[in-house]
Amino acid sequence: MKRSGCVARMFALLMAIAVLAGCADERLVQPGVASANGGIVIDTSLAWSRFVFPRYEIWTIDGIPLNRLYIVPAVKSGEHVFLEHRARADQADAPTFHAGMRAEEIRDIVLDALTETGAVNIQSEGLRPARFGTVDGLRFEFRASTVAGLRYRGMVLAAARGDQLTFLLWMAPAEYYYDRDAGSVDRLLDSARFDR
Amino acid sequence: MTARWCIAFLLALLLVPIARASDAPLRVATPGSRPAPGSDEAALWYAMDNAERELQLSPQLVRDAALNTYVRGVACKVAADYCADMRVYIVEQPWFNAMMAPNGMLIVWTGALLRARNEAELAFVIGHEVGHYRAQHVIQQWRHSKSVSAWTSAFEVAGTGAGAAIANPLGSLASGAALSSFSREQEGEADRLGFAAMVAHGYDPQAAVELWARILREEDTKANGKSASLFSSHPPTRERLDAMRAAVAALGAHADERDVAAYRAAIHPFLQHWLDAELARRQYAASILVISELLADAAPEDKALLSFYLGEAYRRRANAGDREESARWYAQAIALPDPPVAAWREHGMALRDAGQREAAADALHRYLELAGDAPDRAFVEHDLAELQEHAP
Repeated sequence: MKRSGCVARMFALLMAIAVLAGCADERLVQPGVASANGGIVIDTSLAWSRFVFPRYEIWTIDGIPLNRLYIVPAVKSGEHVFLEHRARADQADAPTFHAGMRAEEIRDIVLDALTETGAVNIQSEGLRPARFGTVDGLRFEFRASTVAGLRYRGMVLAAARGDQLTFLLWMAPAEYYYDRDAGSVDRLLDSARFDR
Repeated sequence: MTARWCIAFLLALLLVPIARASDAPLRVATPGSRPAPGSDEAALWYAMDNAERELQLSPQLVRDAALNTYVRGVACKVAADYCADMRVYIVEQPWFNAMMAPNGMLIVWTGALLRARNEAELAFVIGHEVGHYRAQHVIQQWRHSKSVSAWTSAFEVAGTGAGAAIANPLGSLASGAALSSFSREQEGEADRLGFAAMVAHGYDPQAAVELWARILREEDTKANGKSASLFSSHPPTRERLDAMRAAVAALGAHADERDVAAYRAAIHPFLQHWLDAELARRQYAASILVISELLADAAPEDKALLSFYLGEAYRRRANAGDREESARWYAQAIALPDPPVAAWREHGMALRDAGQREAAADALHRYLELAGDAPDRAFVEHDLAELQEHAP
């Protein structure tokens, strides 16, 4: 069963408290070549605040509600695509990654996981092959709303490397923020590669 | 559910000592009447009016004029004299649910429209909700809860004070909101009133039995025993089904109007979209049952679409044997008139996985021919190139 939006918001609040309490490591990313956990290297023309969690990172320019770049490396087969929890027997239908998934299936689990976080009216477009460095991957864009009606747009780069999924997901309000940074983030995703 | 809900919840906690329960008798709720100014019921209506204003802005509201006109028409038939007191909202949520607030805000979720087969079933669902409205169950339950627990009261004020909470699939569940936490007696009374309303309008009462039986079967797909339906919380669905069967038997001869054609015409434009939403719930055992039963009852023109989505449900679940099942349904879909274009792609992929490379390539070529500027063209062309590369 879907987690309630309030629980999701409480989770976000706890995450914010964790950030404030120093549980997440915050750093500044300057324009240029930057590295993220999982051996991911990107070229960015933007400066970011970088919040590092044990298994993933969130980068933001103006604050997480306004724009955020999830960098999620090494999702193992059988794990929730957002690394929220390990799939359990009674959650067999959770959006979990499985080795060998097709591009459409990877897109679907990412979007279904977004639905779990409370996004509504999700639409995807532009599913296409892409390179994640030397690894074959996929790109797509999406649109979504909050239940209160705030419209977001986003873009995703994903690649299965061995039996693990790595993806970068950027989203920002369709009003102003998306258009302002979409070109820069598009180039950032094009530049993404593994350093080993 | 939004931050506003959380804020409303906290505010409600502060307001609990102020908003005390009333021992006033229920007012005579004649059509067009409103609660007395200053009463606790007026305060509840005020919260509902605020919720309704938020709901009117919700991105989940289905604004299609034809569908709204149709559903409102059915609602007015069973609401009779109370029609003018009622505003109907169709909300994009793939679960089976409907609810009616005491201020006349009637909400029907798209999951209920997908699962109903005819106008008679929809009339029963709405008649049930109108029954809660006419019998003033919300204000009764609200007063009862406030007398039992200040915490529960606070939840209800908060839960009903935000349209998003009502529109949210779990909003009303999580908050225990007044709109969905009725007593066994109140649910039974609403069933009886809904049943009487549909019978009075000449609908076939057996439709109510068939609807409840279908909901019970869907509930039974839940491995953890939890209800798959938000509509049927308490008393148990089986008990309500038995009561409905007894009511039909006691009725003897009855009308048999179901208005299948009108219902199908109203929902047909949304069928594919609602099936996508159904699969996005990721409750595949329930979805396989729901779509299988829709397929069994479907008009010929919908069978290819439903066969394809049944294949999709199996493919996405991916349990042992599901790949073979999905392949079977894709093959059926493309053999029927007017299959969705994506059925050719999935049929091709299934043939490829089964080692039938030539047939797979044919199906994928057919997909690309039909799909025009398919967004996944590059992936399919890549798959085709691989098939040709490894051709014997």
